[in-house]
Amino acid sequence: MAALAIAGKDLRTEWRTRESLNSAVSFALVILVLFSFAFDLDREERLAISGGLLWLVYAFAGALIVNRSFAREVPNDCLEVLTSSVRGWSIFLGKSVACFVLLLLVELISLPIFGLFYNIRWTGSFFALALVMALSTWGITVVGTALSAITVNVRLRELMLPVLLYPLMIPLLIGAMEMTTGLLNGNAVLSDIRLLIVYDVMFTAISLYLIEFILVI
Amino acid sequence: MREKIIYSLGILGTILLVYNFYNIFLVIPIDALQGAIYRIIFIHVPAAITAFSFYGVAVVASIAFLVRKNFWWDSLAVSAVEVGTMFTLVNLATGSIWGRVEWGIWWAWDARMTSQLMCFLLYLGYLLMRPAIAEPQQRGIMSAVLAIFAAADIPIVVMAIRLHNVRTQHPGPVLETGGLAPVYWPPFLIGIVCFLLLGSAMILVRLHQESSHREIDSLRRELHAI
Amino acid sequence: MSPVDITNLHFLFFGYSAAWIVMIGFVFLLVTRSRRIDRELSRLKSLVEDKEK
Repeated sequence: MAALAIAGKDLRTEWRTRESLNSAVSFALVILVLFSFAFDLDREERLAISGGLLWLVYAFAGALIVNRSFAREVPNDCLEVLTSSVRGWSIFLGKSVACFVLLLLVELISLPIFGLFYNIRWTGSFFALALVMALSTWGITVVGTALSAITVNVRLRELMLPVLLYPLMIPLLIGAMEMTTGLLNGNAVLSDIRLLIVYDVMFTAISLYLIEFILVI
Repeated sequence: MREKIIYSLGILGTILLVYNFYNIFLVIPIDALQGAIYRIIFIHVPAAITAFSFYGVAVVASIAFLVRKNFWWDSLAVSAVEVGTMFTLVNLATGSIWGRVEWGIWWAWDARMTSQLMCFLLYLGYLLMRPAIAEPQQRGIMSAVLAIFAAADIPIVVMAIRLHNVRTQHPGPVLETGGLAPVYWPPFLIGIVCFLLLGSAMILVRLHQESSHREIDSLRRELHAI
Repeated sequence: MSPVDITNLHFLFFGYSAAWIVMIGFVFLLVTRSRRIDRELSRLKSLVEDKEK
């Protein structure tokens, strides 16, 4: 329950300013436009790189969103107040859920834009795509939120978080990219779903256990 | 005492290494298929095995630090990661040069190379983050958590890459299948022992540096107080 | 020796050199860092002694 309260609090504060959401969406948009300039592709080539491109955009946007997750508690020592009244794992779970919702929102906004810019049909396989997106986004946010807690007091936090986050995300991104490319090409391969599930379960468990060490110092 | 252990480990490792080189270059026969370049595996594979042993040490030390909060474990973890990363670099460099001869390209994005490179990047991140945290207790905890994350990530990386990278051109696991001719075994095993000995000597030097560092920090605080 | 054998030998040499350059470079870094730390430690120790007098 405390976790839900924290998720609600984070989402409400975010909704008032919408600063992460706006910057993440416009960032995703810019990257999509830039890629179309960087590679002049025909239809087959576009389809072949579609999953990779989409998940690169999502991974960049995800890093932007989780970066703010714990950092917004630093001014006014809010984190100390939180840790003194709520268990560490509830804070972590709440913040992960809030980031998950935000990132999923960014993904749902940028998916149609991606389809529009690159002339790729995605509506036919939307539900399978949504499953892949939900599982991978949970993986990104759970690892990202844990690293956000780790790097909250680190110098050059904005630089350090991506350096640590992207290598950790690689197995997840490999699975998500392959499956998304398959789905957008019209062949439904969901065999890699177990890779995503293993990743999600493992990192959720480890993070929930270790977060007590990170937050209670 | 400490210096004696370091020197004896180093000297023992070096003597074994010279003996091993004598064997590798002058005694054992040339591989029929690959020619002289195959001799690189006597460095390449032992470096990988040593690196992974040290990563194992690092994750155990990290868990021990979280449980005991004794800084010695933190020092052991960072020393092992640093030396392990160095051996990973040796492994990557020799592998790349071998690939240039055998495959004609420096880098192949083959399954094992890629997962090895991921390990290198993961632990490089660990080493980069440490100096960015000023407070020792915090630095120890955050690094330990990160080391555990990295260790948990490696099996999934291997799984992900095996699932997808069909272009596996790396030679099969000769060690597990027994494809290595008996005459090649002794230099191979001695190579592993050498690297483990030399690596342990380096870790001991690093451990001492870390404890001196802590001493410097406490002296600085003392000076501040005076 | 055939040209293939010769390039083979060349790259064998490159491989071993690369390995040793990495390792010796690391040892060199270790030694310089040790020296710097020792110097800093003795400087601080003498400073503390001076202040205590």
